[in-house]
Amino acid sequence: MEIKIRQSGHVHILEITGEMDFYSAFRLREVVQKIVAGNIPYLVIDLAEVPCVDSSAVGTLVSVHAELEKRGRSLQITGVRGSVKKALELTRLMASLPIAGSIDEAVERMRTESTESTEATSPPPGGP
Amino acid sequence: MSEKNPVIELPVKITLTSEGIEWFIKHKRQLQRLRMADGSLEYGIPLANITAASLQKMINIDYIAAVELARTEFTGKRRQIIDLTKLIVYRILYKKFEHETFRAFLDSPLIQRWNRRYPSRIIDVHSSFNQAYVENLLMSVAPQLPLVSQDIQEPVLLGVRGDRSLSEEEKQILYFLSDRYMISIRNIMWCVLVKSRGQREYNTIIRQLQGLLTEYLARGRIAEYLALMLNELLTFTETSHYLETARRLYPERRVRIQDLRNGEMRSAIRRHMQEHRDLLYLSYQVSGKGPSIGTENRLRIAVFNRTGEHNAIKQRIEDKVDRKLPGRALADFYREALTWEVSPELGLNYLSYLQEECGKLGVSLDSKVTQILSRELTAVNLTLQF
Repeated sequence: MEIKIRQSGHVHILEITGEMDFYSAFRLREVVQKIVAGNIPYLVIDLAEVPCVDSSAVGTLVSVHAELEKRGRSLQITGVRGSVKKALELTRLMASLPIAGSIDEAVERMRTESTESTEATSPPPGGP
Repeated sequence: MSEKNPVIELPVKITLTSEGIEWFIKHKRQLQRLRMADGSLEYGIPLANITAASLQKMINIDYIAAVELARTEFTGKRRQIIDLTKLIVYRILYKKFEHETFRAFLDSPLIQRWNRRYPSRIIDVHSSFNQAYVENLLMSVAPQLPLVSQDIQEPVLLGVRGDRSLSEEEKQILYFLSDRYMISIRNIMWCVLVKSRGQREYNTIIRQLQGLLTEYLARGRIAEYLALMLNELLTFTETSHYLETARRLYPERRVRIQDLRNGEMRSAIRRHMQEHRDLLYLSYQVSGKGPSIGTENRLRIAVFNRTGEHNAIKQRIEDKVDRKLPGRALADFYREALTWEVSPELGLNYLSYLQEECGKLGVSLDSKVTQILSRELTAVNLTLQF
């Protein structure tokens, strides 16, 4: 399994290639932990080049999501198709994980989220 | 998807049914006596890889008794295991669809009316049809065949097209499967259906065929889920076995399951296993035309592992099967766990999910852990009755 990191605006995208399993999935968690330490607010995990995942990989996605949520960071998972989608369906995780149809859609969602949170923290017009 | 992958790059042993052996001998093809995981000697052929089409064809004509793989590890081969499992399951489903559609056809008002009208030429389960005659008849009605096929498929595929939970890729797979099911319908049925198109009885049987097609398209999910379950079983048995071997190889270290992520340690374990011919086995027993009742449309899968922990494995598997999980997601188990450290054992929960899915789709699934004392092997067996 390989993990490549690229950036689109202030969104970090982790592109994973290869089978994600008990022997390799922990590396994703390590990378995410480093990213979290680096104060990066928006993260996309792209699984488009992952042919299959085992339960350890599924568990890693769940734990990464929980950890980011706890720290107030935003996560989107993309490229969920074929056997990967079937694994999430079988374990009834499709609805519990933040899954987007494409990287573009994920980035757009995060852009909207970022705008909304900026607006929410800005003083109302006409205020003191 | 398996059907798009014509060659599966996995060395396998294929054992043959008596029909298969007869064909091989008649065509002067060389057969070997193969030692199987359970210690039995069977006639068959070892292959370096499998062509999807030839495997399905051989299962269809009941030449294959079993397909067996022996490896030191299955990691890195999950895609191929998924493809192989789906190929075998789909072939069983196509075959069962053929039988069910023919049974529906025999019970239909169309055939009942024919049988009343022509008592000397009754069509029933014992009828044999002159193949050349049926083929000629089929040729003569060939232009109308797409119309009948459309009558059966259209409303079903319309439902697929409109299902927003399916991706475009999944829809394409279902269209493909639907075509494959159509190919399974017997020629004599096509001939009669074309000739009776437009009659009231025709609409009745078409509706029945649509129902069967919908049911069998849904059953395709079992192939996907079974393949996932199998990979979990393989990972579980592989890591359990690796852990035992590592503890023997490194008695001075307190080896934990997480240590198996160390590539060097795994290479040493693999070398040790190769030297001692200590392998993990995966076997698919495909039912043939055997004389015993209830073996048709049955698939038995076994994962064999040389382990001293037979009872522990048996207990873990039985626990997971007994653990009823309706409506629970795997995430619940992670939340219940005290740490986020994931263990391959968690994948055994898939058994419970698979059992639930099988139940919904009218497929029975039985799991059992057995021991082959003479070979010091523990076998985890899954039996599916489609």
